[in-house]
Order: sequence, then C-alpha cells, then structure tokens
Amino acid sequence: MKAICWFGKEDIRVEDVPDPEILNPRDAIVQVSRTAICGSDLHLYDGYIPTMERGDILGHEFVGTIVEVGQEVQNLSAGDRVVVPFPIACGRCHYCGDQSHALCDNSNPNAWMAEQAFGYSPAGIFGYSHLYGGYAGGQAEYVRVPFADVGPTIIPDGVTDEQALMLADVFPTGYQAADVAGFEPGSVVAVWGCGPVGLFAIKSAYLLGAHRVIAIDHLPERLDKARSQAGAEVLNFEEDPILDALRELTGGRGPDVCIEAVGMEAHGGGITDWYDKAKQTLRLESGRPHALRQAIMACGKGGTVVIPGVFGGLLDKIPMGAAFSKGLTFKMGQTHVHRYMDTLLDTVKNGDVDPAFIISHRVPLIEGPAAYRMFQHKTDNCLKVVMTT
Amino acid sequence: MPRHPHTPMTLEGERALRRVPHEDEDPGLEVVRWGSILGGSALLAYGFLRRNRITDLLYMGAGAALAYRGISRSRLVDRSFKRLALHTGTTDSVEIAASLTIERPVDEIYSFWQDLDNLPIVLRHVDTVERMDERTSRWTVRLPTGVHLSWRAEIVDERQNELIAWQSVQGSDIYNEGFVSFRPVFDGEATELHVRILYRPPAGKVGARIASFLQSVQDLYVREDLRSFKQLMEAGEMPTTRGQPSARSHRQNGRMDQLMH
Ligand SMILES: NC(=O)c1ccc[n+]([C@@H]2O[C@H](COP(=O)([O-])OP(=O)(O)OC[C@H]3O[C@@H](n4cnc5c(N)ncnc54)[C@H](O)[C@@H]3O)[C@@H](O)[C@H]2O)c1
Ligand SMILES: [Zn+2]
Ligand SMILES: [Zn+2]
Repeated sequence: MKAICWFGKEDIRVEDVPDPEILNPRDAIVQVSRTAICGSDLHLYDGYIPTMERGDILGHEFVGTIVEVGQEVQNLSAGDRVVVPFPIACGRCHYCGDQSHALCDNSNPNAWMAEQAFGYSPAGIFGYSHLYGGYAGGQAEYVRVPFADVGPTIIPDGVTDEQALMLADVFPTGYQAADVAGFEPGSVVAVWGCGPVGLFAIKSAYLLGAHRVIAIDHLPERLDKARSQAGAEVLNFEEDPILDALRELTGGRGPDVCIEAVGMEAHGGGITDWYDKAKQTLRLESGRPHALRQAIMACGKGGTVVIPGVFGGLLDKIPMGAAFSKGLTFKMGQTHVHRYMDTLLDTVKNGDVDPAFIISHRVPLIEGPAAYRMFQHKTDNCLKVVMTT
Repeated sequence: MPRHPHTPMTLEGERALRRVPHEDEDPGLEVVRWGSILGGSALLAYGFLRRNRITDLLYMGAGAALAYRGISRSRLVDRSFKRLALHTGTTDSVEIAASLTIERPVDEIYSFWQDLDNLPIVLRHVDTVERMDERTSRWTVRLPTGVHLSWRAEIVDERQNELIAWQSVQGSDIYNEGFVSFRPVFDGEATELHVRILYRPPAGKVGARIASFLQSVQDLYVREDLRSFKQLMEAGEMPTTRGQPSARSHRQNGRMDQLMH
C-alpha cells in the first residue's frame, strides 16, 4: 500500500509499504478513506519531536471502513464506516475508567521510555514517535487500529467522512480546551492561535457558555475566519500590543480563561525570540513558548490557562511568579477524544456545528509531501488539508 | 528477610551500582542528542541501543547500568568494562524492586502469583520454577552466557491475599530471598503489587558478572515483566507494534523491538 513516511526533518515521502495485519485479538484493520494533516504533524515535520525513525508511517487523523477485525472485537464488522480517536486506549485501566483515555496505562509499548522522559507514560498515539508507542499512522491506504472495540466509532448516517474526520482530533481538542476551563456566566476567554484547534476552541467556548471570546493570531485569513465563522473578536499580535489590548477589552480585569492553541513553534516573541530559537536549535530547549508566556501574563487573577498546544520537553523562562501570584490554574494534555466522541457526533448530526468549515485543501495522498510544505508555510491560505486515498 | 512488605527498601542495589565507574571518571562520554532535550536516561539508552543490541550488552556482562550512561560500545569494552571488572573484588547483593497498581481485585492477582508455575511467565529472567513439595521449589535462572544458576527456595511466609515470601535454602549457587505483597486499593477494585527480590551472588569476578547481569535485569526486565502482567490482567493483551508496516526493510525494522527482545 501507499503511505506517507517520515525520513527526517522536512523529508517525508510517499512509499510503498506492506499492508498492515491484525497483530492482537482486539485489533482491527481500517481502509482509510480520508486522512488529515495536523498542526501536531508539523512538529514532527520540523524535527522537534524526538524518537522518530526513518521510515515511520505518519498520521493520526483518519476515517475509513473496517475491513477486518480480531477475534475479540464484537462490536464492529467489515464494512462499518468509522472515525478513530487519535489516542490509543485499552478502555479497561484506571485512566480509561475515568474517561482519561489519553492517559491509558496499557497502550504504549514503549512506556518504559516515556517513563524515563516524563515520570509516567501517556497513552500510545498513531504515527507520533516511538516515545508515544511507535504505532504506524493513518496517512496510508490501510491502518491497524489496536483496541478497536473501544476506539473506532461508527459514523452515523447524515455525517460525512470529512465531518467525522474533524472528530478524530481537532474538534474534540478545541472542545476539551473549553470544557476543562469550566466557564461561569460572563466568562471572557482569550484564544492564542486560530488554526484548526484554536477555531474549534472558539466555537466550543460559545457552545459551552462563554460570554466573549477574543482570538489572537497574525495570519489575516485565519483571523477573518475566527471573526466571521466562529464569532470571535480578533487581535493581530504583529500589530496590536496583546497584553494592553486584552486589558482594555476586559475592563482592566484580564481574561478569565486563556487557551494556548499554538504549541512549541510559536512565532513572535520579540527580544526573547533569538534566544529561544538558538536554544531550540541546539536542543537545549524544546520549544519557543512565546504564546504560552503571553497567555500566562495576560490571564486575569484566579484565572485558568488551558494548553492544548503541544510541548515536548523543557521550556525556559516560564513566568511562574506571575502564575503563582495570580493564583492561576493550569490544564493541559493530549485530548481524551473518546470522552467527547458521542457528544460531538450529535452536535454535528443536529447541524449545530459543521466541522468541515475549516477544510481549505483536498488533495490525493500521493501529493502529501507538497501539502505538508504548504501547511508548514501556511501558503495559499492553507488551514486544514484533507487527503484522499 | 523483610517481614513487613511496606517497610522502605534498603539501597543495596544502589550500592552495587555505585561500583560501576562513574561517568565523570571517563572524559570520553558520548551523550546522545535526545538526552539533552529530555534528560531521560532511557532516551540515552534508546540512542545507544539503536546501534547495539541489548543482548550483546548483556553478553558483555556490563548490562544496562553502563548502557544507560550512553557510553559508546568500544569505550565500554576498552575501558569502563575493564575497570568494572577490576573494581569488583567482592560482590554486593543485588536488589530488584518494583511495584505497580492493577485494576483487578486482589484475590485474582494473588491466586496467579500463588501458582509458582506462573512465575516464569511474568519474570522473564527466571527460566523455571519447579515445585518440590508444599513449601520448597527449585528455581533456575539462565544467564545470557548460557550458564544456568539454580537454587532451592522455601516459602517462609504466606498470607492469603497479602504476601508470599521465599528464601533460598543453604547450599544454593546464589543466595536469594524475595517477597510479593498485595494490597487492595480503590475500594478493592484495584490491587497494589510490590515485588522485591534480593540476590547475593558468590564473591569474585564471576560473582561480579552475575551481579551486573542481575543489575541489568533489574533495570530492563522486571519492571517490564510486571507491566506485561498488568497489561494481560487489565487489557487482555500486550500492546505491540511488532509486525506492523514501515518503510524500513525487515532487517532494519524495529530497533525498539531489538531493544526489548
Ligand atoms: N492537545 C492535543 O491533543 C492536540 C491535538 C491537536 C493539536 N494539538 C496542538 O495544537 C496546536 C495547534 O494545532 P493546529 O492544528 O491548530 O496548528 P496550526 O499550525 O494550524 O495553528 C497554529 C496557529 O498559531 C498561530 N501562532 C503562531 N504563533 C503565535 C503567537 N505567538 N500567538 C498567537 N498565535 C500564534 C499560527 O499563526 C497558526 O495560525 C499545535 O501545537 C498542535 O500540536 C494538540
Ligand atoms: Zn492532530
Ligand atoms: Zn486504558
């Protein structure tokens, strides 16, 4: 089959690889119909996530049709159209029992390595480095899905493959960011980053009762989308002094909730940018956390900083004093996609949200490498690429 | 023999490890790149072992303690290993300790461990455990050099759903004692499992080699063994990527697999 494989920094190729096979009784094989490129994939593409190996198959956002199931999978059969959550979860451990599927105890074959890096191991993830399990990803014609009896969800009639594809990761990720913030009536929310995750965070914040949402980015077309399609007030960090503007817009109180949907490769940062870039290049720091720093400084007293943006290792100059003195709460982590799947499928089915609104490009899988480049540079107003097999 | 399962562990294993020359003594360390990002020693091991099979290391008798420091293989052989061999006149005991929580009731976990036949399934470094009578059993451990060590062990304490403790009888190749303790948590829905095994190899260079092998067992195997046990008890299978596709040839495939098998 054809698959998009990682060969190094900014070096990905479409390769012919063997078809996947059932390896465990709870596995299924999915024939992929559509698969997306995620902002998280860019961190791999740019070489910032350790323990990738040449030849690894990429991709954690995919939908398709079941073609085969292992003997323990009773709830699915060949022909079922499914969306697959990007974290791999056993469904039976303590964390899965708590609906914290991205923290599953039993799905990372390289848990020992993650334990050394993080203390305890998170769940495995499709196509997201050996630290996260080394699973072959879904930017391919077929993919093996472990614990298929708890992950893949049948796509109801009336929901398209493209809509469902947004539920593999980005919609639930934006939704979780808003959900864990715990809004109160009148809550003002600021969202850094108007990529797919940021846009869904804005939409979800309104769904979950936020009073006002202010969105921050520097790409005009994305800011436009945030305003016109998600209903946010917008700030451009290249033009507006963000801290002052947020203070002004909130009557001097600051936002109650700050959502960081940018991650480890933020732009801007002024005086500290050269410093972070140099350190990141030398591997002394694993991110350029400008947006995170700003979110912490901007957050109002007693507020909550939510971090769906991905960070890998060590960060410098996080204003801990500000966080401490203002009594902030931090929420972060990979998304417990399984937790939100049914709710969000309903939201889509009811027509409350059409998550396909973020899709900007549709290309065949074999054009994947060019699409990665386009998404990396955000050329041609690229917001979300969907690839067809 | 610790009769109280929850007393804090002594650090005999630590002490044995300390005899390995400290990395500061060796100016020629090769630190693998990822290590500086995450500071995780396993990542050092990862960078190191992608070039060297773990079985080779075990064969060299130096084990994971050195691998974890990211020392290149030639240096390992030329200097550190020699120094290791020279530094070890007598032999300290090696302590293996691990604990984890399994989302199953205590009686289920206890009955699995009570059946000695099951032990080689969960403790990979143990080759066989044969039951001789009610309280005595014969244990065999296979070293990577092909040498077998064996001893007879006697159950010295056994408390239903709480504790199983054993000790080698006199005249064994290697002195050994250990316990497994069980404690229900989360209103009995889960069980905390604590395992501690102490080996005291014979003195001398051979003993030192055995000790360093066992030390590596501690670092790389026992925790993984318990994890596999937990995975089987909870998820009914062990997560794997062995046999999945990639754009690597078969021979190159799965450095991670080479590492753990
Ligand atoms: N937690 C999770 O489970 C999860 C899931 C999916 C994605 N993510 C992460 O979320 C982040 C965003 O993903 P995406 O797909 O939306 O990516 P994306 O690259 O499309 O969007 C990032 C946006 O941030 C903007 N940005 C850069 N610097 C900024 C700054 N200083 N201030 C404000 N905005 C800034 C960029 O212009 C861009 O529009 C990534 O880090 C991704 O890895 C996390
Ligand atoms: Zn994603
Ligand atoms: Zn689980």
